[in-house]
Amino acid sequence: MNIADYLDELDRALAFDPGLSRRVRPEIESHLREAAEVAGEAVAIRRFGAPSDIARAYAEAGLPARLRRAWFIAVLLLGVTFVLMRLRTLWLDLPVAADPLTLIDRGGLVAALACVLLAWARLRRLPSPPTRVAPLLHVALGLLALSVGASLLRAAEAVPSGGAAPLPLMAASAVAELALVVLLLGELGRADRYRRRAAA
Amino acid sequence: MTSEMLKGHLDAILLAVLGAEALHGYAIIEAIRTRSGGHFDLPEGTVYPALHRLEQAGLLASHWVQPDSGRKRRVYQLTDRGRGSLVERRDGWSRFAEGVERLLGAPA
Repeated sequence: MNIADYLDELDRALAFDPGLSRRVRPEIESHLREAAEVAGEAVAIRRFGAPSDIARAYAEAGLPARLRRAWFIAVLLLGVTFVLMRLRTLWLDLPVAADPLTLIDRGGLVAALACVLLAWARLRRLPSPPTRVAPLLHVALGLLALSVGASLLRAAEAVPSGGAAPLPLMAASAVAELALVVLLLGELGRADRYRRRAAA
Repeated sequence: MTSEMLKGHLDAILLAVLGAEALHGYAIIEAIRTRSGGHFDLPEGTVYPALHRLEQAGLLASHWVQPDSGRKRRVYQLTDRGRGSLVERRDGWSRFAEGVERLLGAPA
């Protein structure tokens, strides 16, 4: 195997994060070429290690940061969902009722808060194995998605009788909430790819 | 020292090497080998993920350097946070080493 082949194999091993692969390749190529000038290509490659081992080490190294980023987005979504829930109640003069949508809206938010707090406690103990953080964040995402959905349905039901409800503001807030849900989904997907590679 | 023991101290070793001067990856590995008197001969590929992790943690910063003649390289240097972390790790290591030395260094 020559250096070009090695780098191609490393690219494939780092396919779980194409951005990382683009960042890493020129640096490792520079290292291998320098080492090859001293010891030859074969020795340089052997001393560097197998591409699968390097990729696993990158996944292990990057996973805590990925999980922290996902946690931060979950907190942001939690805060935005709570504020918008209160604002919609004010804008639409929503009654305090025990209907299913209200229960899902509030219950989902409270349960998601519990998951996020527990995830924070576990994140503080990293770099212990982070396998118990990601499932919590997935559950928090599901609960927050339920809460956001219920909140939007409540608002949609109340809009016809909502009087002077600021419709553009309500639409913009709904888009912001849904964008954060998608952002969190994407970040958790990236964290899962890191997790699988680290465990491979 | 076994590779597992070394792995547990890799972050501190990297911070210590970069505490003296900014270096690129290849030079960092050479510095570890030389300054440890040849005791630490790391699998070279393990250093780059660790550098990446330390950079993500804000302890290191990096930038590309292109010498007039020579290869383009990513150079790493300590951030202020990294310097603080190095001081803490040195203190922690001194206490740990002193304790182990008292236990193992001389027969009772």
